[in-house]
Amino acid sequence: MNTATSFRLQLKECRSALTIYYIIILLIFAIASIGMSSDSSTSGLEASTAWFLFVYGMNTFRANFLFHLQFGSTRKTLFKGWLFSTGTICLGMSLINLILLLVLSLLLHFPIGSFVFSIQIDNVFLRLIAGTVYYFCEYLMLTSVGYLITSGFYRLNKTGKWIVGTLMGGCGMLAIFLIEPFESYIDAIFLYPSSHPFIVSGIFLVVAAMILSFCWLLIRKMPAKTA
Amino acid sequence: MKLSCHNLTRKFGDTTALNGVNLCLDEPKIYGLLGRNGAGKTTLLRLITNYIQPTEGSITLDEQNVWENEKAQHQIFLVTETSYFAEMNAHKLIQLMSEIYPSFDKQQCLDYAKRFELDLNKKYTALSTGYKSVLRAVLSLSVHTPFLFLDEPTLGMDAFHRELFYKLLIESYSESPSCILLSTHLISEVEGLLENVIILDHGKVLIDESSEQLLAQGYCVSGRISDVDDYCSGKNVIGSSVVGGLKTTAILGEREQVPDTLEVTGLSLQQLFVQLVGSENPS
Repeated sequence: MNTATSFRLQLKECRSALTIYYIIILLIFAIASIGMSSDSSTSGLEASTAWFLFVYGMNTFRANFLFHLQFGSTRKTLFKGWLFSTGTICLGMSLINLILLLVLSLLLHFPIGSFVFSIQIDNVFLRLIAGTVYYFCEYLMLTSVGYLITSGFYRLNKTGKWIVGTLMGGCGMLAIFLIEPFESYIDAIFLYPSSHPFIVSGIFLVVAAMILSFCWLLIRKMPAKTA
Repeated sequence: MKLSCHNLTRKFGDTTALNGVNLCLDEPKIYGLLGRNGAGKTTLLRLITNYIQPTEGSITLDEQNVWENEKAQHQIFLVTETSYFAEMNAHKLIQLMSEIYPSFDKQQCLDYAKRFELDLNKKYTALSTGYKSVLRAVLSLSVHTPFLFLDEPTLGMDAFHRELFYKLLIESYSESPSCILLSTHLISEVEGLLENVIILDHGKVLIDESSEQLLAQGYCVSGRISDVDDYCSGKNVIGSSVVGGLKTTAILGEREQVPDTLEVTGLSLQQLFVQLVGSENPS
């Protein structure tokens, strides 16, 4: 199996999930404007896409890994195929979201807030590009986090899974308590991308590259488990 | 093409699954890979096919290391009980196989599937254990790669399907001879197919020779109990069975003058195998 076949297969794999996801999104838009406000700098669509891709990242490792090995493919081909397919999906979803957003807000005058509208760039075309680039980088980073979690857990033994799982959960809980006094700084961090979308996109991309490098280090000699 | 294992060792924690295995598969032949549970058969196959990496040693195909070597891996096809074919049905798998393996014969695969009465529209995961084996079998018999590894290929198949599988294996092998490695516990069923026998025991190669040579190491005598017992005294007896007043005994060693009252037959591979690996501790 070469990289092109791997790319095609991995892309095909998420076709039905993507279709279902957008059907649900359209149904939600059609039925009610739940949690949508034109004042907000983010919309349910963008946040749910981020979660969708995070979960997608977590679900694309094990099955594809075993499938590639069955057909005489290498870990390198699997990873390259995954990278290309994930990049395509992230870019595709950023564009689809943008089109949906523009159609709903500008043509149908549906009250929907988006980060794209709050970007502080006067040129509309450049603002749309900035929004798409920003979301592409954010989605790629979140998908990579999901992929890292699954590949990391696959590599660990049972005890390791328990230890890492508990530590991750514990650190998450601790972070919620620790960041409370720094709320104003957190707000500033959240607002920063609208003034500097390309800088933040760059940061996301670098973080994604670091996570993906770590993923590759985990995968390149990963043994296939039978159970 | 020559597939060689050089001093191959694989450890899982404190357990040594394979210990310094040296093996060479080069001729188009049907090899039998035999061994007791935990002898290291599946580990050996998984090492060759890139699933796991050896702790020590290497595996080469025409002097090229097979680890993460796509070109080499496309010369080998392995099917096991744990083969992963995702949620695909037979139609899609056949299509995919024809895209990946240039030697895959799509029409032959469809013919075989028809003979096994396999439902091509059912997803692999929805098939019964027996039909999962059937699907794996039809794919592997049509792939025609230089090396074909079959790990318990008839698992869960009924007697009719097993017979048909062996028949088609011979048919496919005669049509395009390749190096077929058959790993199974059903020794008596495959005995007639095997040209070479590799026996693994406690992670080491115990036997690697032709079936003919191996079975020439002993013989069976049968006749009246008293006659057989008289003849066998002082000989290396590896197994006996009594039916009514008739006794059959397997003997290891050179055949000596046999009295007319006894009938002589060849040794069975299963009898020899049980004798060779039957001890509780490694020899």
